[in-house]
Amino acid sequence: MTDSSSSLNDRIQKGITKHAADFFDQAPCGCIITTTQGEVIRFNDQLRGWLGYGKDDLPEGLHFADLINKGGRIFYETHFAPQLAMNGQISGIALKFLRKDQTELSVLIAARRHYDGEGEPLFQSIVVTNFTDRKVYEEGLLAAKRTAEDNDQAKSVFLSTISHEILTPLNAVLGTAELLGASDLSDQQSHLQSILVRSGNHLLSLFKNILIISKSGLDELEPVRQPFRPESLLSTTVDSFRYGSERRNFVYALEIDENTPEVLIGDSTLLTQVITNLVGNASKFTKTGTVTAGVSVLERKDDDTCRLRFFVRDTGIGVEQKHLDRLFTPFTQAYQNIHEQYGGSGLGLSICNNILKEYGSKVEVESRIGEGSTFWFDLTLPVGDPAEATSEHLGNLPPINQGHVLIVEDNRTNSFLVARYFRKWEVAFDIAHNGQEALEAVASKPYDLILMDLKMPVMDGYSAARGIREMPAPVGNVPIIAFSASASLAISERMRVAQIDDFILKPFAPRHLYNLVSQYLNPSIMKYPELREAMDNNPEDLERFAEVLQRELTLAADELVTALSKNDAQKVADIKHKLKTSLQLMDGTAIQHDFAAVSQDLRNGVTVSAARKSGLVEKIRQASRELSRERW
Amino acid sequence: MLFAHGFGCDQEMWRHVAPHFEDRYRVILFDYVGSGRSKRRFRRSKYQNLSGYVDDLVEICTTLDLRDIIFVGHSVSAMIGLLAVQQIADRFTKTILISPSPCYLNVGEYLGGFERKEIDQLLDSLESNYQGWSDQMASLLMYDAAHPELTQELSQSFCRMDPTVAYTFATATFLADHRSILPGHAIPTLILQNKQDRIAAEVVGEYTSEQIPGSQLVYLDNIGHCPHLSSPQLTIDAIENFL
Repeated sequence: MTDSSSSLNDRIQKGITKHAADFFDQAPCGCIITTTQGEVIRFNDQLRGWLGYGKDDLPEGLHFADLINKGGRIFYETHFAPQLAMNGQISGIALKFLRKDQTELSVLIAARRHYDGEGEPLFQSIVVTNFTDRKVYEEGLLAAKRTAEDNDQAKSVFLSTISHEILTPLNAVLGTAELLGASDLSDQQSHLQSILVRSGNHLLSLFKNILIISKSGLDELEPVRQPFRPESLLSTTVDSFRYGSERRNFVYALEIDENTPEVLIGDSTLLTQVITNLVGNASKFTKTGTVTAGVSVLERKDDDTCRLRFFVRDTGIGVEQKHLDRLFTPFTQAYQNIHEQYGGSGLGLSICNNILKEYGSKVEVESRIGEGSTFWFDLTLPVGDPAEATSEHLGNLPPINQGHVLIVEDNRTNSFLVARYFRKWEVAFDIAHNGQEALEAVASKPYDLILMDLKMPVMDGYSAARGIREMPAPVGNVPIIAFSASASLAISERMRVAQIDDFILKPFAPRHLYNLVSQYLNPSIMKYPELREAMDNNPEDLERFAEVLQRELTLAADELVTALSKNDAQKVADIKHKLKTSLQLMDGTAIQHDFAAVSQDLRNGVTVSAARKSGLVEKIRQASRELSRERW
Repeated sequence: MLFAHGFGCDQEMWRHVAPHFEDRYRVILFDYVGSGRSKRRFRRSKYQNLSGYVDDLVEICTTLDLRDIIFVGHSVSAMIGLLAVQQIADRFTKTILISPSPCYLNVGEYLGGFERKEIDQLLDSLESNYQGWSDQMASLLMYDAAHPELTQELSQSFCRMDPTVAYTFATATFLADHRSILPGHAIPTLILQNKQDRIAAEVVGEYTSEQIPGSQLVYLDNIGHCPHLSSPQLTIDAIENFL
């Protein structure tokens, strides 16, 4: 390199440095250099101009966050600064700066951290774009988006309300039809009655679909966890179709994998709805052959959970490959003329997917034109205890024959229905027609249970419940079960606030009403005092802990079966030791006693009879079941 | 030691602090539902106030059967922690609150620091940064697909929160008033207060400390709301002294 070229380079360098400074100040964007902590070091003229500051009147010790409006500073501290620190850069951040006169300036920001060779951060550079014009458009778009969302919300609420309004009379129709079935009927009458029930159920299913759509639109679809029998779920669903289509030329079949657990935990109402929709579709598009509903076990992971495939297979018209996607779009059917030929709302499959989304699953389909289709979905569900799942048949329920119940209901048909069942179950009752009457009744005489409708004239169920709770104990502590037509699948916040203990959906399943009522009228004496004490009588903790205990007991029972079959004294002793604390908490002294005796005998080589062994295992299982039935 | 991150970020916030305690404590980090890599579905109905987060925290403690917990909660997690202690007090031995605030709003004499309209400005920032958020997310995911060698970049990108989650979490956090639970908190407590904190000012830390019986207030010479990120050593030292 010659001298002259080196001095030329120097001059170029100096020129660039000087230009860079001008460039920094006059660039069409704001530029800020800050310390790694965000304190401002340099600030360009452009930004000064935008913010209305002169050359020298920038405040001393200015922090970048001070430029942002106050609420935006929280965003800076909680999102901007941590991301910049951790990721080294951040861009496309819309904020509002404060001008010197305290008016706001919309800006878009990109920032970078600069590091030395060792990776230590040195400073931060921030580029600011004036965003005022774009912000105006953006705000317009946002407003439009909000309006659209509000409309959607309003529609969902409307759907939910209207379905709710329809469920009440439908409840009365179905309940009356069911009562009719229990009386002496001629063959012809009984045929007519079955049509009544069937059509009623069909209508009910349609409205449940609408409710599910509106609930999931409102993000309120929350599956409950309750034990159910998958086999009976499938057969009941298929039966409801079987008896509904005498003029069909195809048959219904069930295919239940023999390894399917007897009882699973899940939301049987929602799953029934999925299966109903699938079987309903299959029936619609099948002329001859078979519609098969079934379940197969994909994987039994351990004792606690099971992965299953539920499917509905038909020999119907089939769907072309290219139209398969359309099946799942709401209000859309695979072909334009489907509705004319087969009817239907085009909602079924998208509802199925709305429900299955809650379980991380969706409906899959395989189809050949002219040969038929198979729709299926896979679920991983916890395995339940057979003792907990009650039969769904109304059958011969033993009389309850105790307690005095107050029915609070303005709808005469509904109170008439409940009254009919109560007479059958030998439960004494009084009827009040609104919340005000209920308060008077409760004040005049003690009740063991109150069934309360929520929507009533004069005073609604929430206010009445609150009123009762304000009365002195023990009157104020009477259990209250709400009649809810809102088809919400869990106890609502409003019910919780009103201290309502439980709820039953309208239209109610008589069996469910029976279970609920008998549960509250036969309160087992305060069991598990130790456990309650240990959890400070906090129902939520008790419930959670009871679940843990239950799982532990079930697991231990299973382990014990194996250990006992091998006469493994050491293992039996281990299990006994493991259960010690739990059993103590549950006052399981009898079990502990048996356990110790069996363990001791095994250790000493004394033969333990099969009856004693199974007796011990059964006692532990029994304890687990009892625990699950306890209301905390 | 159970570390609970604050609003806007995830458990990565603890990366300069938590490892320091790993040799002597079982260190547990988690992401709140909707934050970081949490898998559970975020339900607006559950998380519209802090009790949804409290329930999850309690579930973590009971499911893992944690005992003798030293709880370290940043920002909103301070109150989430205190509410969890109300439910399962016997599982906790100490609580450490970093930059806490029982109430961000100015209410009567109490100066939380913000007026309602300023919280609306925050909600507005969250909403208008939806696009920026999704752009960044999209470009990162694209990088990942097109250049598998850049997967590293994706996994190192922290503190991204879905705007719906952020909006709901922010409402639950900044509009709540939990001052009434402070006097009942009966577990040894350390409060770390930043010298310059725009979210939880010194008066707020002092108020919190006065209200929690026997609590200890330590000032950190730190600018900002996240000392565990900007001044990790100061934070570690203060915690060590307390323990």
